[in-house]
Amino acid sequence: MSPELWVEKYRPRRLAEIVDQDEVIEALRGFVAKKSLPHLLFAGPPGTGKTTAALALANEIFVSGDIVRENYLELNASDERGIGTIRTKIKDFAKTVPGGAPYKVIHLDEADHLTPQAQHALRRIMEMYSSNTRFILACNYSSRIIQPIQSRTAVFRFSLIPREAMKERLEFICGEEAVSTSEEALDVIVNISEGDLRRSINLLQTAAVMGREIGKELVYEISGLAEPESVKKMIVAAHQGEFATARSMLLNLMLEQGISGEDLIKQIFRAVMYSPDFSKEEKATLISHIGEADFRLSQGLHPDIHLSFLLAKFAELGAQG
Amino acid sequence: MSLLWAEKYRPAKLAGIRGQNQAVSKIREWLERSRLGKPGKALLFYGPPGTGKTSAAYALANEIGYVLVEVNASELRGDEKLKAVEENITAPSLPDMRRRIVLIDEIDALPTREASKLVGLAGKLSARCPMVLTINDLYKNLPRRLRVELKRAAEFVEFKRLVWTTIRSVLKQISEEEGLEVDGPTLKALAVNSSGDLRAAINDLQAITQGSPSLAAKLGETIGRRDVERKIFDLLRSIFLSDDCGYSRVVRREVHEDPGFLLRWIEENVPLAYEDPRELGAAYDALSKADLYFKRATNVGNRRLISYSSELMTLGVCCSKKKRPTGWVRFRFPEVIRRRSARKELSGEQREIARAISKRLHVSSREVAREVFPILKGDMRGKGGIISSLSRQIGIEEDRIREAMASKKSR
Repeated sequence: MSPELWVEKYRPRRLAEIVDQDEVIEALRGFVAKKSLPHLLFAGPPGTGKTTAALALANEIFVSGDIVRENYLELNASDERGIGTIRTKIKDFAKTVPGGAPYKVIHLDEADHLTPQAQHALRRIMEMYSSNTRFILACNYSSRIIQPIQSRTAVFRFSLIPREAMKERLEFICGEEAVSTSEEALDVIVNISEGDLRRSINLLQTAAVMGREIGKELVYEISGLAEPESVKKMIVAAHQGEFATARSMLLNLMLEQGISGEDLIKQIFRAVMYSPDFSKEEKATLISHIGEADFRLSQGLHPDIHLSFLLAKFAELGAQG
Repeated sequence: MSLLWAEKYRPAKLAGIRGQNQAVSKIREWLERSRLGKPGKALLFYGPPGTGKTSAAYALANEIGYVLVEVNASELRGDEKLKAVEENITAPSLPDMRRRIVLIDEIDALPTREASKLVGLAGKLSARCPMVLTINDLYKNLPRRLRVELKRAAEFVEFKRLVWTTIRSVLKQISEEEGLEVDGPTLKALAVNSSGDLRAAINDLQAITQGSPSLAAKLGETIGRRDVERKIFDLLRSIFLSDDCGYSRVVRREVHEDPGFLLRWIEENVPLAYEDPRELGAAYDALSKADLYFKRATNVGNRRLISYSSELMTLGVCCSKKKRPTGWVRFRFPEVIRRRSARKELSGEQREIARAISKRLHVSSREVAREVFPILKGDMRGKGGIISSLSRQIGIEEDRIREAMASKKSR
């Protein structure tokens, strides 16, 4: 195994190597061929190739590594302290003439983390420097980007990486790194990652550095998720009226295994939806309880209380049926 | 109509203070000296909760026809408090021209620096206005320097734990006044169990007679004897065992504890007290909303929202029951506090490292913490090659990275 982070080591350097996203890639290659680049907006879930596409695009436009370093600036909106520091950094970067290239490229990641006011400021910055600068904005949801920016950019949508493509990539990495995993473990990684290729590669490497055989138990252990079996047991206990048992299972999952409230509620939701034990009507009732609990969890202070609330609702439903 | 008996039966005069003869005569001496025009020091009442410190201050004020102005130290923090105290003392007299005594409760609840300022102020102003300070323990958690300053500024009056026979006779008197018949063994159990805390004993009496009298005999088994816990058990009993939901609100106000802490206590005991799923559902609905308002209050900086949270966790949970629990409920300490979550915020050092890695990896530091830190932790147990190559790339020494990964403060 190489002493590097695999997400970095196996990040495609060229547009053509990017996993999936064929239509987006084709359009981007068109820009490279014509040597003209509009402002771009990349929208899509995490780990689907937005940053990689921006980097690969820069590599192909600027050709040599030195020119890339000189003309490519990457900022992360959620890590910078407000639009003020972003403006300063952009100003410093954009005020010099691009070396060996027609323009500079600024990649602003997580642009949807900026408030609408900050986005308006960003729009003005974009216009101020558009003579020698192109912006690539990345976000999870394009709807969270103000209309004036959307209308000034070419919008590209990145979709979730399909299971097969993801698995193929993981298998390729396993081969390169001489790591052996069970088929089942790989499937679990793919399931957990939900179309996020970066997460899947990070999970694979986390499992690999443990120096143990990579089975599905290990994958759950490192993933921060509960084994689906224990989630199922917990909701069944609650539904059968064994609330105190269900609650102590919950506390075990959260306190002993360190599973987050958000992850747990997602897993509960999935367990309910795929369960043959609940009728359609029960599922409908439960979904609204899960949604309510999830909402309160996101707004509240103690996640376990909202999950216990949800378990109590399972118990209530069980008592009616 | 829910009036706390502990308030209702506060003695009006010093003579009514029970079981604290030494303290009362010390107060009288102090009073005598100030009547003779000798500028007195402030008074410091020290002793465990429920031994009559606050009551003595009220009785003292009544005795000499002054108005008592209460400043609760734990409620006001920072320099505003000092200003409030100073204003109380130097402000012009009340409309009815009565003079005032300032009572500052629980000075040990303050940070040392502020407590020390306050004590200085008391020393300076006590000649112009009688002041009473209270403290639970002169030695526990009290820096020596502060004790010396206190000694200089105030006269010490000790309040001892009451003997159980005294407590029993007070309880007997109250139950007669209330027209209740409580049997001897119950009164004794209440008195003994209170560990010399008269207020707790009176609260217990009220809880039991308005709650479930048959439970009284088993009291001693389960009621915690530590002071904080005893107050909290009062609250739990009022919520889970009493039908009078208004009463639980009154008890809650007596428990000066962080609402988040109370929420944990109440939540822990809901599954023990309620078994009916409908009761559970309603109680947890109230608790979960209480948690929401608690967070919102801090989010928007609106303390008024906390009161909704407090009402939901007491009145809301109290009203969730269809009927009072029939069996004896063994209340217990919150498991979540005992076990402390393994998940914590990132430390400053971890955040810095996450930032450095995030620049290198083109992802946000949040994602680094979530996805890359586990790799580094695993690597640390194994060959350590990833950390050393990363250390060169981001320019942070290996040891710093290792130390940050080893520290407990992360997922």
